Amino acid sequence: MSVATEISKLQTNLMNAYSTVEEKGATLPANQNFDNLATAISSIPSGGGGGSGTTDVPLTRISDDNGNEIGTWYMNFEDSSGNTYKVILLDAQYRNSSATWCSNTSAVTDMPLYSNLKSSNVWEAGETATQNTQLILDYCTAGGYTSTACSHCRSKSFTIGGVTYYGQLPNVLEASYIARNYNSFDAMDTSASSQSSLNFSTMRNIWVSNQYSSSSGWWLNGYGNMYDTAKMLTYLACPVLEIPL
Amino acid sequence: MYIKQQIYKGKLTDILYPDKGYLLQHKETKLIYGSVSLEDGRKQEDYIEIEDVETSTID
Repeated sequence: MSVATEISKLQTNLMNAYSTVEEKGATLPANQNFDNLATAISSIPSGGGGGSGTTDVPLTRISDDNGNEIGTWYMNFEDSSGNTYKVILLDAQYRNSSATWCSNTSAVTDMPLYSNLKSSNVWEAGETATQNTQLILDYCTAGGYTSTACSHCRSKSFTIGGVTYYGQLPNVLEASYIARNYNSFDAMDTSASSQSSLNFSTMRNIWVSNQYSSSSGWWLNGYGNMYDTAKMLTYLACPVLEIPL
Repeated sequence: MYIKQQIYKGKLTDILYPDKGYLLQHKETKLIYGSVSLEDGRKQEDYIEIEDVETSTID
């Protein structure tokens, strides 16, 4: 095999390597050579462990097909099946400050009980907000209960690229990323300042669609700390849109 | 554990419940549930009962 063939093979392998690390969420250097490959691999966001994953994205304002700004694209979420979603937080005007997780205190059917979520294993909660919201609503419909948090989120719908998407109650990873960007969201949402009970300057206790126990759901406080509390209490419901990528 | 038939997702469905004081754990995924609908390929033999232990709040 000639030297030229060997060099060509190495170049192909290098480009394939960069392509793979990009799919894993790495930031690619301008000069994609062997010297920069290790740095590119190091930039792959942590996560994994067989569960879900997230990717940071530059905060980007999103408009619907009517040209109205509706929210901010703030992360991508990969569920436990490997499907990736673009996650958009809807603006303050679409939130509900007095929403209950559920009016009943028994476990939602088919929904895992995550009684030990913390920063080291939060990735294990690989269900989408869409799945969680649907399970809570199915459970409420079957038992004659209410979830004002989920009902409120689902009442918000927007058409983007010709497809209609419904609001969902964020899962624990999506809520954590909301907490990381509280101030930025308010700054980018031009209507936030006029929504005194719904913006993050005044209201930061947000419901998470993951279940802690039969009687409790997860929520995040203003510092991004996670707690469990009775499903019947009222906190902020912040709808997100999950758009399959 | 026991099975109770209920209307779920608009149709009569077998729902698997643990006995009082217990929860259901999926043998393979180890995920824990309060109840499981036996549809979409889910089977009773895929679950075991584990004791329902109260855990403390973690932040």
